[in-house]
Amino acid sequence: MTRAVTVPTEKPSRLWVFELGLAVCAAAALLALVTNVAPLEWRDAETEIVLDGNHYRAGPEELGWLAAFTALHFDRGDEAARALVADEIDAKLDALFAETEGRLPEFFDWYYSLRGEYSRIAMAALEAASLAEPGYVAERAAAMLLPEETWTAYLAALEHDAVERLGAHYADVRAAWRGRIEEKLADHRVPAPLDADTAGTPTLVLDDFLAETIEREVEALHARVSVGAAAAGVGAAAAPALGRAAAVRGGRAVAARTAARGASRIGAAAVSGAAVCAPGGPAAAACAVLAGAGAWLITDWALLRVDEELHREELERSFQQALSGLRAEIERELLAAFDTSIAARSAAVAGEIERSFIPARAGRAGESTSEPVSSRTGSDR
Amino acid sequence: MTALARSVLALLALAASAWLVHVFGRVLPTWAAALVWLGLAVPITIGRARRGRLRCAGFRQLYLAPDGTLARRFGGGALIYARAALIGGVLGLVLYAALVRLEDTRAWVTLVAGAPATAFAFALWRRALASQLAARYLPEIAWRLTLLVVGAGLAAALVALAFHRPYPDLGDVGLERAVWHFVDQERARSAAVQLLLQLGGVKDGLRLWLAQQLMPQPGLSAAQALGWLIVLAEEAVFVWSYLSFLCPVLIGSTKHDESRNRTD
Repeated sequence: MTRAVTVPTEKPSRLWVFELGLAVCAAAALLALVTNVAPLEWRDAETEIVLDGNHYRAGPEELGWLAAFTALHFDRGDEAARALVADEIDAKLDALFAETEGRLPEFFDWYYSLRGEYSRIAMAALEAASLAEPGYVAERAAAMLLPEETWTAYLAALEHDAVERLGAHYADVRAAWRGRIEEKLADHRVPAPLDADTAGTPTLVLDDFLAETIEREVEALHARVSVGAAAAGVGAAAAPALGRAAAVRGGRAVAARTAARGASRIGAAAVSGAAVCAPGGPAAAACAVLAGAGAWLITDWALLRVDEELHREELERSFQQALSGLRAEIERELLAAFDTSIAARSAAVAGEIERSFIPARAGRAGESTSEPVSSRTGSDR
Repeated sequence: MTALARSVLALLALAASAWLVHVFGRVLPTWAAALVWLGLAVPITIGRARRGRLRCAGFRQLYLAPDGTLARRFGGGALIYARAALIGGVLGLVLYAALVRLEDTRAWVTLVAGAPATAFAFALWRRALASQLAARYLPEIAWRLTLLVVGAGLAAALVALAFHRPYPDLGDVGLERAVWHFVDQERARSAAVQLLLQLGGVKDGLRLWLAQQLMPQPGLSAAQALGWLIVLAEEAVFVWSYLSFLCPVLIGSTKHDESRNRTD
């Protein structure tokens, strides 16, 4: 049987005003807190990556991989660029020195001609009188074998072709990099945000990443690998190298040869003059001069032919060795010039990678903040 | 101190704890978030269990013989607690996600104001019905009526706030992008909490996208009404969870009533 139970009634307290005030104060304090204190937000370590209009989310691990892969990829690209430049230099120098070696017979024909012989003698006399610079044969060889307009044209073509190929190469490297990045991030693709506000997520836009740097650096190759500097190097190196080659026959051998030729010439001239013009009477003196001169020239010519027969091959080998050495020296200089330029480009790329990836990674590990976040339209509950 | 003052202060304390969940909910580690969830779920469970035992006691008293086997079987034991714990656990999750995601300061003012309002409404109903109802069943009926009145008021206020809230334009975007917009804004230190919040984001994105796709033109229509009914249902679930969280303070211990029931 249910028993009527009376609800215990509260005794009116004198403290009800105090209690009411306490409750009101508590409610007011809570309302003040609610309206003035923002909730703590949590920022995760993700980074928004934008590539080809697609959006991806990458955590620190993916971002670290991305930075390392990018650096490695472009380093490998630089290695390939060096190989490419070496190929280009090799091809151009092959063509240049093939043309140069094609001129060797012309030079040696001059060298073993009377005109060449007397030019050398005349320049030697002028050198002895300090009226001409030394190294006439070397200068002449450089002018005949490596004419300035020829190697300048080759170097200009080398610069142009190398820069073109490097530009295409770096475009390929960048395209391959983008493809690999897209492949790697495929699993991290997310829909595009409704607006530019990505709720505080750091954003890394890779659409134009490195494009400007690569373009700028390829343009800078023109300035860094200047034809003028390389040309000066060729010009400066060619004459001494060829001079050393000519000295093989032009030094000790030529001195002996010239002395022998001098004795032979004088002897031949005297004998010829005396033999031919003895019966000539009063005209004998003039006759002797002519006959002597003729004998002189014939003797010189004959001696040059003998000299050529004996030493031309040796001199040719010497010049070929000199040209090989010169080619190697020029190749080293050109490689060094391009290498410096590629290294500068590589440093610029590394700098951009660092600037782009490190700030996105740094300090983005999970953290809380009491800063109020940007207004969230319609996101509550 | 009067019972009403104690109730008001206790409910304000619970409202403050709910606000602390909002403030710190995103930065808690998983173990702390689990404790907070327990802190939300346990009061709800206790409230529901107490009310369940009261109802069970009423059933026993009315229909069963005190010494019968059925009376022992319907003793109001583990089954009531298990069911209350299940509902409390689910509502605790709902409440955790809702409290953390509730960014509107005006909504928080409404919730804080709702705490003393609940105490006053409960006291008024209890006083008004004291002479009409059996004493042991009075708290349950008073609570139901309080839940109805205060809950309706809170839900109406929250729906009104939702009505005037700006929403992103999802008319020209796909569902995936719309849902991602809301999911992407949910960040939490704990992966479990983040998942919970993102599920809330999915719900918001889905609802708003459907609303803007199906009801592009504002105006009175069945579709519009349906859309706002969904919002009302969401708010009702949230308010139900919140008031269930406050319930144990008001409903009090049932031991007195139960023991009284057993002696009858």
